[in-house]
Amino acid sequence: MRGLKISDSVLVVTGVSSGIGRATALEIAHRGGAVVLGARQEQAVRDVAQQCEQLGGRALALGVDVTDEQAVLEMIERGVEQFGRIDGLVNNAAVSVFGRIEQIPMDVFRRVLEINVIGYVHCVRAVLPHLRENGGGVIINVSSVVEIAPQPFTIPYSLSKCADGGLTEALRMELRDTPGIHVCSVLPPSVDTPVFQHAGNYSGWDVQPMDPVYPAERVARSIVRCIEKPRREVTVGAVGPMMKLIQAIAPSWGERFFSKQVRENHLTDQRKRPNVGNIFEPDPSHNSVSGGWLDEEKSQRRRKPIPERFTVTSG
Amino acid sequence: MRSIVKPPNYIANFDSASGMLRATASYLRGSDFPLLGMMSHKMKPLAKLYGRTVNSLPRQMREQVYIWSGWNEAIAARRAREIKIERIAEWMVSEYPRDRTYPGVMVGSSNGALVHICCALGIPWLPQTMLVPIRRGKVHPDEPEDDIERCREPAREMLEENPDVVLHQMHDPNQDRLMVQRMSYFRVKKKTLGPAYERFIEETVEPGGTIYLVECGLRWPTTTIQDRHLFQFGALGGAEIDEFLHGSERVREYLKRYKSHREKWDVPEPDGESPESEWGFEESLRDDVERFAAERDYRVKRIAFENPHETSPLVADFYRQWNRERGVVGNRLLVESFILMEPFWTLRTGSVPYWMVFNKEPSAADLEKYLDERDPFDEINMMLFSHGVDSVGLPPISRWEELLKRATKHGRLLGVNPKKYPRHFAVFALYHDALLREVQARYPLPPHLDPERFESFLQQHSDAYSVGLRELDDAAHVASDDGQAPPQGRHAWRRPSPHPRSG
Repeated sequence: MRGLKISDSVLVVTGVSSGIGRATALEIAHRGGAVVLGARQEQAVRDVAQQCEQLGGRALALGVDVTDEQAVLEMIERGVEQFGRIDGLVNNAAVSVFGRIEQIPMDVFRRVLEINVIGYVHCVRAVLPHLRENGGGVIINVSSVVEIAPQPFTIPYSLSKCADGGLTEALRMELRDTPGIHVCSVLPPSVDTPVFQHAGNYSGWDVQPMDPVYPAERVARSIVRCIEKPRREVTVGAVGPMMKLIQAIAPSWGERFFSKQVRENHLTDQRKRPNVGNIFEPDPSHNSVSGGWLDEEKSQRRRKPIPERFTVTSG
Repeated sequence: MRSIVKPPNYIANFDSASGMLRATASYLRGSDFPLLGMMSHKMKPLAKLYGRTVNSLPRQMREQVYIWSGWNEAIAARRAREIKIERIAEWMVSEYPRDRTYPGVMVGSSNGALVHICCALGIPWLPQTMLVPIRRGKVHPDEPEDDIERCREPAREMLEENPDVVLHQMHDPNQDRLMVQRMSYFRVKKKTLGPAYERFIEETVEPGGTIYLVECGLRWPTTTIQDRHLFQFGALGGAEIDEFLHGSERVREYLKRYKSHREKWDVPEPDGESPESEWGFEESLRDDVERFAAERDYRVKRIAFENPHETSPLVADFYRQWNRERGVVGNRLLVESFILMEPFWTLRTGSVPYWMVFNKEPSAADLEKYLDERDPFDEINMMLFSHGVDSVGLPPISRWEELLKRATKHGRLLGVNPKKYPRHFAVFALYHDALLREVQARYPLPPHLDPERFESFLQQHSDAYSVGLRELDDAAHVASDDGQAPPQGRHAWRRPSPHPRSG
């Protein structure tokens, strides 16, 4: 499938203040593309925009809450005013919360779904007329391997990523009347981002990413490759395919295995007070690509050499 | 499902009624309109090859091919008794899907702009006027009396077989110069709905639905030949009525260019005026629709206007507003001419349709006026009909190219070779691909609008347009562009509205 040439494209990226979103924005800018950056923390977004411009791209920074439909529409309009058009969307803004289903307050539960699902829908609806006007474009919905094998103790997040997968597939079917628009899913595994520091937590225990942990830059590169050569679904690393195989041949055993993995490796033995994390208000701490979860040895094995400026963090 | 009824072999394909019916029916079937609806997509490569081959011929040969293609659609004069208007009506209704009900139907005058309204509302249109070309011996295009005499007997025979029609025999040596040498134009107007139309409406229009009478008030001087047989010299287009009847410098130059023995036409003296043969509405149909609607409890509304071009700004503005509501972010105008139209891709590309009656100077002036009075379009794409004749009132291609420059970003001719225009017959095969290739935007087809939406628009903007939505018993005519009601009485024919160039 023919995608976009990054250096000629204008791409909207949401959730850019940290993690995968930030890494993706920087990767696009490094390739000469233009980015319309959206996240709740306006200062963090401006910092990312500055870095993008230092890397050779063009950037427009906007403070946006993706649950606000009007704000999302204005973000897209501003992007069109600035760059003349929009060619694609990386739907990435997401939050997480840990705890049993009965521990997590319902308002927190709803808010996770609003951001992770309705926020994605708002962005798609805002961008789609412009892609239709162009006769083509790319929409990347950043999902997760939990779409393949949902996890316990993070049901709102699992639910939202299953919904995002459904959005991608159903939208792709709806857009068969405009074959130039590609809708793709990228399913990262455990990624070294600050999402674990930012997440709400009602489990009583601190959390960490489960091994194997991948650098966010690797996910960013997969996203950018998918923009250039769209595929229906991209998994990063071997975890996704392995999960699919287990689900296909031994789903019951898979459930027992993953359940044990989450209990033993996702939740630590450090106690933690219940907290809402960044669910309702953004957390200005850890505005960086990395969450610091990869030790140096693993980091060197899994990261490709990157420009020095890529690793500048703020916050 | 659509019933497969073959069209009779005497219906003209290159005609407003059949072309616009096919365009409307294609859309309601969920299809687009390549090759003027006469062939399927599969035939496009062959049609393009044929078109390009014809285009490469010397001019006179190209003209002969055009003449032959029209002649091929005609029925021999000696077989006039075989012409059955009801048979044409049966074919026409068979083009529409029967697997649904419609909230209404339009009946009456041909009008390209209103095709887009039918498509927007998801309702059929049933023409009042049908063109039956008659093949006869050669007649000099500048000798209308010969055309009358050749067709007097065939006309009588045809009328005997079809008691509920009026025949308007039209002879236009200006625009149809190529065709009238070998063909007579029998424009037949239904005075009644007839069994085929009545059955179709009963079977497909919802109880309480609306019959919209499309009433174009355009009239023309005519000569009565015999009962229900009128002769019209000239037609709506580049030349004025006065020029047809009394000549002009332009006519003299035109006739000289075509090496005619005449400097002006010797026209049978008109003895009255009648609905213009192609576009005008024969009012007796209204009485029959009133009867039919009363018997079956349908609403009747009249969409009335004086000239066929008057619906175009209204429909364009209606679509522009609707496109905004549909979320179309583009700002593009698709200019159509005669039956070179594409309602399906108008909507899929998020375009605003502007229909021109033909490709003559009055149409250019109307389009220019429209562009002067509206917010600019980023894109203007134009499908320009090629009729093969440098007729009176045909503007040069540069006139159209200047209008295309009014677009703020892109102005394009679609499928037209400017050097070969107006003899670029390949345009009939090329326009469709050009539209799909040049306009990248793709929007989903919208759900059909409630007819009351269009009625409200008409009522709310009644002062802005020369189109009225009338009740059955309202006054017959709508004031035209110049604000004047048409004059009455013998010889007081109404001229097409003046089209002053805007400043």
